[in-house]
Amino acid sequence: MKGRLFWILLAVGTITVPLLSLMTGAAGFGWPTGTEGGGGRALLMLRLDRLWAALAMGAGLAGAGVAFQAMLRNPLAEPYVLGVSGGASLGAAGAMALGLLASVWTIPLAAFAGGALTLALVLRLARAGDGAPTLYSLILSGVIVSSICSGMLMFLVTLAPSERVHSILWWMFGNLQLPHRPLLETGTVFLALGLLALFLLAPELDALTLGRETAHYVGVRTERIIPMILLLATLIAAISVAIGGLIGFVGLVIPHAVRRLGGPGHRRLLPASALAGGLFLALSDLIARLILAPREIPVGVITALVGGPFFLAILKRRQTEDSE
Amino acid sequence: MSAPLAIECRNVEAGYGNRTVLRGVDWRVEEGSICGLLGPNGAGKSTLFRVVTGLCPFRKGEVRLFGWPIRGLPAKDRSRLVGVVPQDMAVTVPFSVRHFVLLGRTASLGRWRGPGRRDWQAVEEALAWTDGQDLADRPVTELSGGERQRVAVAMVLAQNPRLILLDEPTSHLDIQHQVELLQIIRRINRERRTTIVLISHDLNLIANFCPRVVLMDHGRIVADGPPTDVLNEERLHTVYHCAIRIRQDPEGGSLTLFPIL
Repeated sequence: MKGRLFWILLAVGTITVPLLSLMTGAAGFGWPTGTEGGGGRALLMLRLDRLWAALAMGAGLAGAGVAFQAMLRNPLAEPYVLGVSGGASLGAAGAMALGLLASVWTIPLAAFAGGALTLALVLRLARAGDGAPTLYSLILSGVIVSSICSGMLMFLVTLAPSERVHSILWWMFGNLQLPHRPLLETGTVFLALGLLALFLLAPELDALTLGRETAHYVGVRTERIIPMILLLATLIAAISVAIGGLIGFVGLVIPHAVRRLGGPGHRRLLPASALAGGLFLALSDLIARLILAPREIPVGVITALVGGPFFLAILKRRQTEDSE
Repeated sequence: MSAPLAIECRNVEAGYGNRTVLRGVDWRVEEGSICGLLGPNGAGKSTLFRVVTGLCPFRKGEVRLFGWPIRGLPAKDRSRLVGVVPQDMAVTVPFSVRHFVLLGRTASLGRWRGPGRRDWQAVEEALAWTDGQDLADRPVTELSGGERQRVAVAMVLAQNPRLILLDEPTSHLDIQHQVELLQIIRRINRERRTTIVLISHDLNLIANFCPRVVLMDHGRIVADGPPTDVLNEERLHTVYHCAIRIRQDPEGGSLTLFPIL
């Protein structure tokens, strides 16, 4: 019953959110019409790009969240909390400060390198002895490494030539306005490929929720599969960051909601989360455009206002479970 | 000619880092048999399990499963030879019992098509074997200890390996659920010809359930044979460093072991 309602909701959202998003903007509500010689068409194209960026990025962040949560067996794991987003944005901003926007490859690559290094560092810091990292050590390491990254990002901003400062700041806030079109195209292809690869690894993702040892017993080549999934999730998160900057908590809120309402099996959880993540981000972006219209606020503000309390609620529940 | 061997370990040495846990283990388990593994904490029972399943690499010696060297055995093939019911499976994700049992089929699931009719059939059969059909739609996180152990056995049955290792399968169960689970395991051994090896700290359970007992101490096998030969008061005293009395039931011949406090 609960399950069916969720799928209906998802279907309704798939139709209404993109429509609303295309009809809403600083120019007011309504389908953009070409009153002044093709102006409507240009406006529509702008909004389409923006919607596209939101859907792609939300799908990537939510998909990466699903994979991180399964792999680390940690309900709070997601790109932003783990510091992967912070590392990726540092990488991307570093590339931008050096003026490397010329190629569509450099920014995602730099973001991926930054994200992967950060994840390796966080996992290393969080590991206690030879055991798996605990819930809290992982989150703590992620937050600390993340704040180091943002410190270095600020340093970059002060060093960067003034004409590039704006675009780097843009990264730090997280923004879907005026996405870089070639970057969006290449990024979407890689996001789709990465999500598809994760989808094909759904049996392994399911088994790994029982831990590395049990997964090994049922025939998962853990020594290969675990690094592969972690790298895929990092790649997806990094490309998302390259598209729209630092936007938090999408990878936390969406997988939890979808798991709760649609079931924990990754064969459904992964595609449904990708779709729901895209719609959630498009909707958040819509709200960010409307709430102080005609001014806009960064979309990251909306996702943080939803995701922060969500994070604390899960943390609280885990604490009560642990103390029982 | 003797029965083919399910497990063959020759002079196996293994450990973690600089610590050596197994110091030259020679162990053979015949196909279709039930073997109990006994010994104090740290004797190397769990490490032996991990070596036999390819989870822990070994430094010296040779390990074969049904004639295949465990080294270099592809994960998928290995999962058809050996399956494990771990001591305490920490389930954090609320899979339905049916989906949880399906996880035993991980190695044979189609990536594009997903679970097929044969997979679901194997799940239903495994649930029937363990008397778990009533549980099929419940979240596995909400089961009692006894139910969860039965479902864990169902998962390994869906995997359908030729050898099943059980690590302390009854340690958290009351006597009724212990008996229930052991009966299921015995039936699996008899009717499916599955080889069974189980670790337990419960001397009485091992003595009465396993026709063959292997006693380990300090990384070596110190005794191997039928319970009446392996379990004697002197030997248990040297291994466990406490006085244990053994009584044999004059009618059934079964052993009762109890420590003297």
